[in-house]
Amino acid sequence: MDDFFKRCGIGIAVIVFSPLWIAFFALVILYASLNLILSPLKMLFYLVLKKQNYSIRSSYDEQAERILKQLQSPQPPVNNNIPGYMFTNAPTTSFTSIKSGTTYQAPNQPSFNNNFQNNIPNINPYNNPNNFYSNQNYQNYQNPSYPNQTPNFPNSFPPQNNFPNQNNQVNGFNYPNNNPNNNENNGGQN
Amino acid sequence: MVTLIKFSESDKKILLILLIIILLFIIVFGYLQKLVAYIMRKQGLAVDTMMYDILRTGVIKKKGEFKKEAYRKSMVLFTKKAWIPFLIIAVSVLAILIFGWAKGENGLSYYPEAWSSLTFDLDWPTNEFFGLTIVSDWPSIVKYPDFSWSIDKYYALFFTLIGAISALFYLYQVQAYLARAMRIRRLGRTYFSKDLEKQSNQQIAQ
Repeated sequence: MDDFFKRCGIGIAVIVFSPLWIAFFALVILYASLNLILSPLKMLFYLVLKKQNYSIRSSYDEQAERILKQLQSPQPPVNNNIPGYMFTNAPTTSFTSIKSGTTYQAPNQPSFNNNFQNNIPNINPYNNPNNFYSNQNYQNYQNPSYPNQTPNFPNSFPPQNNFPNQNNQVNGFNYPNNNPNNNENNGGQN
Repeated sequence: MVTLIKFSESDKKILLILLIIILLFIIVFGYLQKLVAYIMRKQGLAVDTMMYDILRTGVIKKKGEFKKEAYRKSMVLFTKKAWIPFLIIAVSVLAILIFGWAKGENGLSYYPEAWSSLTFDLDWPTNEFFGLTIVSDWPSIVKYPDFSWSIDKYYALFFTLIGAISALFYLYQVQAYLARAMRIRRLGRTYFSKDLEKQSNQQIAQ
């Protein structure tokens, strides 16, 4: 009932203010029609001077699209091939349990090994320089002969030449002898 | 007892009918306003669709820039949707004028003659009511429409109908443009308002 009386009140207001509304709407029609008539000129203006189409899409939309694409860029793929040893309490099913007509129970969800680090793989090689300059011999080498063991960066660290140059050789880089079976003397070493 | 106004039976009937008609008008206009407000609210949501990504990504952060871009997009949308009905109205009006010019001496008089032959002629009985002449009863039909073939009649009828339907579509688009303008004004006030309560609500929501 309240809504009905409210509607009647609004109806009275509409009838009373209708000349104002009609006059305002007529002005809007006039303004919109003028803009419509001038729109071919606007299209020419956009094409010739701004060199773009007279369209809803603008440079703001392009910027927004670029930002959204960056935000939605695909994540590195998750490794779904988790080896079996990572699962403890892996679910098991057997035909005997099915044949015996026991009520089927969903297997327990596997629990992950806490030591397994399910991190997104680091694809930036510069975080771990050892990946960039990989040297399998170095990685497997247990007893370095060179006193100052540094990562195998030929150009990053100055050579630690603790042995004087006795053979008048150029003081160049001395790579450590990574091969434990290699007993050859390198230049600069005694 | 002194009686200042004495109503006759017919006066009472007329008064009752007038009151019912006025009440009906009030009710109809009240619910018409509700319908128009609902339609305009829906039409105004086009602004949200056009500006959503731009505001979400923070490309536009100022109220002035937002209003300028939103009004520009709204006008382009209006142009795209309204140019066809506008063109049809223009063609209809031109067709009626050119036919009148082609007829020669009588000119545009063919148009009212065509409509008067295609419509009913009614006789409304009137009555005096406190100095005013108002309708007192249902009308009687004096002349029925004449549907015999005549190029003037059907030419006028065809282009008037086409023009009227296109005018309705055009007015709908103008209303949509007005609705979008009102929505832009409201969003400019609410979205960019420096309201600490709104900020605290957002922080709570996070």
